[in-house]
Amino acid sequence: MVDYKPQDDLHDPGQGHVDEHHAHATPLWILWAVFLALVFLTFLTVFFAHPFVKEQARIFVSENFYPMSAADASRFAFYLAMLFATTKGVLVVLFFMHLVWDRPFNAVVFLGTLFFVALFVGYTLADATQYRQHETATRTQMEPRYSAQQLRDAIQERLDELAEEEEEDDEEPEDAPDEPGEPEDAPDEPGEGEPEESPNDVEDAEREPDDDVEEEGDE
Amino acid sequence: MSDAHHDHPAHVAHHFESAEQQSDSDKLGMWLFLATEVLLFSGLFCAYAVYRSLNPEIFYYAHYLLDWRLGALNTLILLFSSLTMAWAVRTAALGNMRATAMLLAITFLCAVGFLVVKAVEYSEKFEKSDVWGVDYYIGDKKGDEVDEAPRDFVLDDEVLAAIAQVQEDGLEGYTQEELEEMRDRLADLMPAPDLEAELPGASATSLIRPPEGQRQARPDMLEETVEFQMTFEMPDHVREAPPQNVHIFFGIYYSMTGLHAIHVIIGMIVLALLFVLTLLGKFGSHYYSPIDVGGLYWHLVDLIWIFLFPLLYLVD
Repeated sequence: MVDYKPQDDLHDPGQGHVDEHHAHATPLWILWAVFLALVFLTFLTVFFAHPFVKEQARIFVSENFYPMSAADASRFAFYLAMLFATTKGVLVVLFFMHLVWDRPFNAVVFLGTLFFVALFVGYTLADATQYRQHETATRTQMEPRYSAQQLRDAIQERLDELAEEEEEDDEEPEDAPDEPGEPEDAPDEPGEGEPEESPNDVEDAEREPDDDVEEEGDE
Repeated sequence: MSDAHHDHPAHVAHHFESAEQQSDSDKLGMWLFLATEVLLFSGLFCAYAVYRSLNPEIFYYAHYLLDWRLGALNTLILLFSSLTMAWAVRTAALGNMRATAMLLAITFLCAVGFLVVKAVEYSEKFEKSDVWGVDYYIGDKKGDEVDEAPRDFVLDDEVLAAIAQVQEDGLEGYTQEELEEMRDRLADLMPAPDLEAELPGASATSLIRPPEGQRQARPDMLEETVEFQMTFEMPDHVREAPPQNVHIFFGIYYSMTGLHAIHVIIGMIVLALLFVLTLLGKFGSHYYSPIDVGGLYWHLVDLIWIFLFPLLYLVD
């Protein structure tokens, strides 16, 4: 092994201030300090993710600063965990990966990468919820008007109503569909025999065949 | 190729001006490669972000199925291996190649330990059928007993659509036969007349559930009384109402940890090569770029895991 020394100035590209090899040896105490910091941050990450700690912290903040819901606490815990992870990442990149002593262009490469990752994830996230609109709307519509119990009662009442109508059997079917309201309203409404065509064209599979039969029979 | 002929030492390729320029190029090339690695993983992180933002309840539920202690152990193992790797680069720069070989070996053993823990984790999950896709087992997640307890009322799509229609239009548009059928099917769904008392919290939202993936209460709706316990036990109210499509989480979990594990294996190959080459005396304080660059790769593996651990094991 021959230690290479530049033979003349032409071979030295003008960076003589960098003491070529030994300058890159990271001091041992820095390596250990970074490692211990990483372990400590890992501990903090787990500590603050613990439900008990999270709840105590939430209560503390609520009593002393501002009211904090469990959802706020969860969100806060997530940001905290990401903060710790980012700090750990910065420590690793700067010291273990020598970026702090490296040529700045390497840092430019890495930060550029992170920039594009941010673009990628950020725009995708911003877009992701767009496709949810339909389903969200569905969910809003499906806010319960009846509980299952109420629904069954309402159906039963409606059936009784229909049975009464059949006994009388001489009423003209009224045209005005009543407000589909609370189930207890149902018995108060005047009888109404003819199934009204739903404005919704989307008929469920269960209902469709019966509909045709019913209409033909009544006319 | 002889030094005398080319007028440069053997470790410097003749298209470089100097050893330092060569070393800088090595590092720049490695950083560019690491950039592509980061972008590769960012696809998976992006998938994670999108699915978690759309289905927070799945991630909240499923993270209880992972053992955070194993994840934390693996974090510590990787952090320590990063320390020994950085240390190896230091000793190489100082020319202490015996210490470098030793530290590379320790780093390699850490990688083995990481994969052993990972294998334990994976095998546990495969046993419990906590896997991606249709093989995910939705049964009791707590114990060994495998009973098909009714998790919830399973509505087929037809009934679901009918009920949604009723909620929308009211009952007036329905004929007697339809109403009778609906009543009967609803009665089938309800085990006891006093349903609400029997299942506290059961309401139309849990019975008449919206389409897949958005049925359960969001984490922010869950009020829990927390008592101290060492481990992160799954709260009862979470266990009793598992969300649908938990396999989505495991698809992402296995993709991310699997790709990461592949990188660990590649890193082990690199470490083994560096170890052998160091023993063969190929490196010295004048030339240790391969160790430096291999170290950069190993630190990236560590870096990825630093983010994977809280994202997968500590969801809250």
